[in-house]
Amino acid sequence: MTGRRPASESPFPNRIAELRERVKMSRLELAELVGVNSQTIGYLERGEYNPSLALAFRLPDVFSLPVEKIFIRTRSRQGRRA
Amino acid sequence: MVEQWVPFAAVVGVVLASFLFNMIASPKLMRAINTPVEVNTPWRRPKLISGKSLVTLWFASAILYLSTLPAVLQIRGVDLEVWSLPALILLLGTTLTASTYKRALAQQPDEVLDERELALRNILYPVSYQILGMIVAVFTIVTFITMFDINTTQTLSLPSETLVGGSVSAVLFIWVLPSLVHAWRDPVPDEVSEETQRALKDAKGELRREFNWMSIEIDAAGNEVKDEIRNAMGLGGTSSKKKRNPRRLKVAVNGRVVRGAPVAKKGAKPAKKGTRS
Repeated sequence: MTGRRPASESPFPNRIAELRERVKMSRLELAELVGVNSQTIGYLERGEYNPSLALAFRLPDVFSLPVEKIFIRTRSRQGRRA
Repeated sequence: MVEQWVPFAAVVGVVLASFLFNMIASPKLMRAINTPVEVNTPWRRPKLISGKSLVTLWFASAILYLSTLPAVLQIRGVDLEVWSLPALILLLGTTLTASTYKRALAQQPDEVLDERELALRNILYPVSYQILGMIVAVFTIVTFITMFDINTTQTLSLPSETLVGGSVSAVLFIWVLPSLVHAWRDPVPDEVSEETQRALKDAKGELRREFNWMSIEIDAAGNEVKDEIRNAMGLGGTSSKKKRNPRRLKVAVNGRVVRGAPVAKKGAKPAKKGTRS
């Protein structure tokens, strides 16, 4: 659940860190907006935690972007979509 | 008698030092070797294991405490009961540290945890129960085999202090086990938030500025006292140090203290152009 899988190996890499930096928002501010602990934002940014659907849909609301602009689908090693 | 305890104390000291070093150094090292804003780059984890050090420290202090109980370990026929109290204090200290590891996540109610923490907490307890179950099973099997093999009719008699001490250790172990599991599974300490880092930096700068002003005021007061003493002794004049080294204003710029121009006295003539002040 909170394994040591880096973001590049995560089936759903995300752009949370990039977008957060773009709007000059701290982890604590983002965490308060989506209702989680600021450490959880760190875990999400590093790809060490895959969020629930509820959290995955709350995050795009903060940046006013569709969910697919934040979470990116990658092809798995078998060539299928994850 | 004390020499016999040096290895125990050394082991506990080394583990304690390792834990403290990990706690202090790992956040700085993580910030130094990582750029957290880079998108989807794997985070390089430093090989610092403060959580695992904490678990090792807890078990070291528990063994240390249990070995100091009467009739458990005797050195040259003398029970080392006097060592039980410091060992118990160390055990309680490590228990407290372990139970507060990562915001005491294992002991928190559901309301204060988010979905990740809740899921993690819900894993810690089944793992703890499994470990506890295995320990009880191994203890029971070993006891049974020992009794069967030795076929002894003697019952094991321990002093009441030892039984109480053993019970205290067992209760502490059961209570702190989920936190120990958490510390072992997730050994890297929490990151310090940007707000806390900024607040710490500001507080450091503020303290430095306050100390600078205090040192200036103390210097000035000291010079005034010297002058007063000189006047009282009839020597007159000001202190030679003050003449040689006119008081300059220390100014803090971006957290660094620099020396500015000498402070002009009231009523002093302004310096001519082209001359150095």
